[in-house]
Amino acid sequence: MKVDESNKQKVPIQKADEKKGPKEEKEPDSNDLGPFAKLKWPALPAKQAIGIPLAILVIALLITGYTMLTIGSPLHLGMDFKGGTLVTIKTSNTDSQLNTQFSNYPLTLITRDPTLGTTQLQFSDMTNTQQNDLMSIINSNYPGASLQQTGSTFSAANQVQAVIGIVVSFILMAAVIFIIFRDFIPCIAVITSAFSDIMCAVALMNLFHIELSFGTFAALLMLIGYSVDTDILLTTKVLGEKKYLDKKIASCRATGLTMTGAALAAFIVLHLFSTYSFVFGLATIPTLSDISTVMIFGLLADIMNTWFLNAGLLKWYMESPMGRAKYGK
Amino acid sequence: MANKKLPEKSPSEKVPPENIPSEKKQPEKKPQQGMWTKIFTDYRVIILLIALLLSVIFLAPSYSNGQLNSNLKFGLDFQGGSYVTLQLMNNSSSGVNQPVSQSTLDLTKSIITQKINAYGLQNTPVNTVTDSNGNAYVLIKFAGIPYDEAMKIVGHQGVFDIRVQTTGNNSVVIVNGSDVQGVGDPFSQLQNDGSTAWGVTFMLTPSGAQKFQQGAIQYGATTDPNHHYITMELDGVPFYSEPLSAQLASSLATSPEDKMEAMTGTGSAGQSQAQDVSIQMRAGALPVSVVPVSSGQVPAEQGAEFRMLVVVAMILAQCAIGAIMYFRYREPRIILPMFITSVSEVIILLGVAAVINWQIDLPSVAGIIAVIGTGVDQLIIITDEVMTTGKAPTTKKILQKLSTAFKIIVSSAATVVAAMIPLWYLGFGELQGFALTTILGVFIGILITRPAYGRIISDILNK
Repeated sequence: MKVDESNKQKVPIQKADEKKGPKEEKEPDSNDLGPFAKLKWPALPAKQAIGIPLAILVIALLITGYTMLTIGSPLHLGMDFKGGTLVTIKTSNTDSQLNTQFSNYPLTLITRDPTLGTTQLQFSDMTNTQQNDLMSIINSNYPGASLQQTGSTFSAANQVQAVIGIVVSFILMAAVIFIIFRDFIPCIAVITSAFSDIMCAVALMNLFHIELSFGTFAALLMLIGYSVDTDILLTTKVLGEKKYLDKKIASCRATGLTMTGAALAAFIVLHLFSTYSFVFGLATIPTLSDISTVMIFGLLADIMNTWFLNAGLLKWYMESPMGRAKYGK
Repeated sequence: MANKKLPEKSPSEKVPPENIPSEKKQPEKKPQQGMWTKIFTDYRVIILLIALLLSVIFLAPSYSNGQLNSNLKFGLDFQGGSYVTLQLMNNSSSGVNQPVSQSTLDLTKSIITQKINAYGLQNTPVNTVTDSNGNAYVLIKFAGIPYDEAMKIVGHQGVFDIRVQTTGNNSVVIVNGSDVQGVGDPFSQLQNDGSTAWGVTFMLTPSGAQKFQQGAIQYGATTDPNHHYITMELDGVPFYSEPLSAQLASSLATSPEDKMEAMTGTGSAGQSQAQDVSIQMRAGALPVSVVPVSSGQVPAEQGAEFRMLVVVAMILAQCAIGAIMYFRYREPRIILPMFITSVSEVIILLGVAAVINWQIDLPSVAGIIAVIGTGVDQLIIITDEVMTTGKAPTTKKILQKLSTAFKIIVSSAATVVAAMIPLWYLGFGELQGFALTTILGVFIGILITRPAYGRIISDILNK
């Protein structure tokens, strides 16, 4: 969604540094870096390069804020964080038969997956004796049932831990970035871009109704790792460079897009396989399907955030009096 | 396309590598063989090969009956079973749940482990977690047994009492679990009516036997057994309630008796009750009561199917990455080493998992996928750095490029590890597998596979 918006406005950006003729031979990075280097990358002026991703970040925050207002949490919570009991069985009983059979238990939702022939029963929180009785009824009547139960105290503890976990992870990541680059603005650029990746993924999870489970929570943390990869590459190679700034960024971009492309390809395959394996008569793995979806969201956002937001900020900084003063020009 | 690959290099670069050195560098180095000798005598490559070899030895893969077997342990996601998370309830003094001390938590863990071992499920992972409010949890993953069975083993405190009936429905505790010193396995007897009765024998400590004798005499169980039943109960639920036999009643009147027998009923119900009693008495009671707060069950056939699916998914993901590499580099000289390195990373990771007896669960698989993805990313960084050394690569220049690449790699590895550490400590238990595989993968990558790849690729590309 972000790549095509400005494909048309391709402007030769090299003008600032170099006349076009000899650049191919003169520069050290003139090797052909494969098809990704030939991508017609939209050359936005710094303001737009920074502004558009920031606007998208604001939209993502608004979506998440809206979810927060309507359901009381920034994401739709799954069983792990909300509590309750989820039972997956194979049955030919009708909904009303099931409702009668489990009338003593707080059965809240029956969903059926026609492709797999499974039925999911969702129960809200219940007492331990009820829980044990329910489990034995299920196990004696529906052999091969899969069960998942989380009590309300534990799910509440999970919520607290998840918040602490992601905040601490993010702070540690930010600390490492500061130790590596020791320069405020480039560090903030990397961190903002990582933050935006996660927020975009969160907003898309809200739009597509993907629930927060242990799996998707892990995916959000995984995004921290994937997203700083390309940002570190860019910052390491460009920070302190005086000449050929656009060229350097372009060469990093070829490498970085290959990296993100490889990761995207892997997660798209994983997503297709874990979601549509029933086509081959196999079980689906919802956890992997959700993880890969969240990763795809985050990686798409990362393309925008690294190569517009972070690159834009870095370029602006290197060309600003502040950056020139620090790195000499 | 292949011609556009390295445009500034002369066409002679395209001819098989053995021709180049013979034309240009003949005086200094031996042709072709020299490159491979150089690669395979490099310590980084040797370390990689040793690590690979050790991993394969530890994994010990074998193929029999159409199934691939190895030393790799699978968690319940992949073999079926059940998991239970118990919260420790320490509300002895007031209604509020008091924080549980570390020693109580450790004791609970060791008793639960004993119970599980007594049941015959060795190597079941038992983990403990404490949350920020001081609540303590024990997380247990049972491979291969359903939820009801798991709950019977660990779902209750296991307080054993022997009571004697005083008057009417009243009774008093005369002996408890701490007076028990030896518990036998469940035994069975054929009854007169043809059914099988199950029971457990156990020994009382000398002081316990004395307490039992005194209690029985004091409340009249020896003189009037039929109105003073002896009841044995587990967590307040009676499982045995009989009058003393005439023989025991008379012998108890004069001397203490330490051999006890508790019959638990007939048929399979009696058998499972006997097993439960035996396990609970043997391990003793937990220091605090426990409440299951989270649990689940994965059917065995689903686990087996998941295992196969995940393997296929990972192979497909690797192939997708390979396709992107081909699209990008179009050079078997680059793609092959890259692909092999990436696969090696996974093999070594699995080897380490086998050595430390790590059970592979779904979060671990997510971690392995993260390792494959970030690993390939970093191989791309190395490749692109080495590729851009220009027309006349000197050793110094290559080393400089490699060190830039490694600066980036180590930096991003550091951020990944930093981001994963909290997951390990906060560990819902659930995500420890993810944190562990990711961190291990990062270390294997920066210490073993990526240095070797850097060496191999710079030799191949700049020969």
